[in-house]
Amino acid sequence: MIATHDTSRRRAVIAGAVVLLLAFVALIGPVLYGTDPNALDLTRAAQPPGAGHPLGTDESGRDVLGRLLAGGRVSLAVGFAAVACSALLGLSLGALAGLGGRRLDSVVMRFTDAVMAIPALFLIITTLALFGTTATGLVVAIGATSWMGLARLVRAELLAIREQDYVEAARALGTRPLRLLTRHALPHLLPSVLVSVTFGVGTAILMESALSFIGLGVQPPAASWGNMLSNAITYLHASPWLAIYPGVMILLTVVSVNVLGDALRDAAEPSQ
Amino acid sequence: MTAFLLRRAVHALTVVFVVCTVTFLLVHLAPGGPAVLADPKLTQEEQAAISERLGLDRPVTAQYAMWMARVARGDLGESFLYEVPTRRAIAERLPNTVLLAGAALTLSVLLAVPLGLISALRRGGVVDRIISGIAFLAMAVPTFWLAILAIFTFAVAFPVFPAGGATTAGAAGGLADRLSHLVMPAVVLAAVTTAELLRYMRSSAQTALHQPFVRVARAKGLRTRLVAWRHVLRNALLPMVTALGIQLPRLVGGAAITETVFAWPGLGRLGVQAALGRDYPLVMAITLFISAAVVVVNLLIDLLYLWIDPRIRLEA
Repeated sequence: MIATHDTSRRRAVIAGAVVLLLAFVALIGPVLYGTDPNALDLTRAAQPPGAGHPLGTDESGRDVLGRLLAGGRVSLAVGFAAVACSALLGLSLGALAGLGGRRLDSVVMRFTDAVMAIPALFLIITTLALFGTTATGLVVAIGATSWMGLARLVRAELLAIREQDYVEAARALGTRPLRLLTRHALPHLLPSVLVSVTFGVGTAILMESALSFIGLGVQPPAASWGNMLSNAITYLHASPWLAIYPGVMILLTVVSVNVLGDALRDAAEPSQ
Repeated sequence: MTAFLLRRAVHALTVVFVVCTVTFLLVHLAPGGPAVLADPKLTQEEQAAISERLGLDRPVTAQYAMWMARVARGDLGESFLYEVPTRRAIAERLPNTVLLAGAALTLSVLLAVPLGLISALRRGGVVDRIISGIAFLAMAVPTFWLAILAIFTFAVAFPVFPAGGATTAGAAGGLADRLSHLVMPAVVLAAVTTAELLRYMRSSAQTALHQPFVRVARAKGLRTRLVAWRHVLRNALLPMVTALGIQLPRLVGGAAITETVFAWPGLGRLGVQAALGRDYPLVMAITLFISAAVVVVNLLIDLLYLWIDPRIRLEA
């Protein structure tokens, strides 16, 4: 796409605003709306959108808007926490490979290749089956299976930066490796790390929703967009609206995060 | 060339070794340790007896060696839920997954290659924007939601295709029946892969477009279409082979979700059911098997490179 600087900046601003808005709504929405997302009311079950329940009720008479807000909070929190976890792993393993010398490099990179070869979903379901499904477990499992791209990126950039004159100069002046990393290498890494992390948020939210959907993620009665959809599939014929909202929310979130990532990449690599 | 092959084979073996080790560690770090691999309803004495029989009272290193020896022999234990060797449970479901993933992959390549090329040729134009926009959406849409929408549209609202399963229960299961069951899951599974492959294809075609040989071909006066389909396409396809290898684990993971929604009796759905039913040996066996399969396919892709790219043959 011929994205001039202006349109790319505008896209970034719009996408960033949507992401912020979603995060804001997830944070204070449940408080403002004030309807208990887990309150059962079987007399008013499976109602289409209307008075009292703006988005209708589910099969147990729970308010869909309330659950959507509560679910958004869970989905976004798990998504962001998982990305933080994977960024930490990716950065440290990448730095270890890039600065730790040849032998350490090849050990870390073979390990990275191996984890990449295992389908992430299966590694996660094995982990969750063995350790039990808790929110923390979910975050760690998603984080532990999504750091590989970042680790490779950080390593490649570090290997390139290491040869730069200013790094050699710093080393000649007796700068220690850790300071070299934080002071001289990290500022250079930041743009590409930021892009990779932004895309990671979308992937993590998709993974969380898929896991909750198959029943290995956020456990009912707590709501998440994934397990709301899992419920909805049983009542697809009678209450199709139940399957629409959570899906639209996931799509909206992931699209805006990815647009933001794309725009950040355009800004980080002007040559592209 | 032998050195190249040898290096790749060692690489593949290392990966399989690490996968086995990771699985072993997961089991040992899990609450309750590998003793949970036995029936949780057993008494303490019975568990102790099993621990002794399985060698769980021995040092971890010895257990690790035992586990590796078992895996090397292809013995991955017995499933709790189905009470058959995990090997047999996998063999039963494998053909269905191969069929589904194969159909989805074929569809993805057939769509992504021409669309990606067109997108690159018309970079910035209306066609490119439409194609790239749809690909962008397809990458952000949850597979299982797409599956639900497909079922609602084509099985509930307009019943064109069956909502799930691989064959109609009780029917003879002819080719037409199998195909009509395959359409929806294959298309849904292909969506994300197509989008990802399309983006690779678009960028590798763009790289090829700026190569000197393309400029020469144009300068010679060859028609644009001929240059595109002969010179650009062939060279853009090379990186696509690598992209296929990268996409494979994701495709198999996506297959697990798709199989679950469409009640497709494949390996992925078996894995999900095993995880939900706490059938640890089966979950681990499936994870190991799929990872090994991915490694083998990637090895085959490296071999394929030797065949299609003479430059590697000369270098190696």
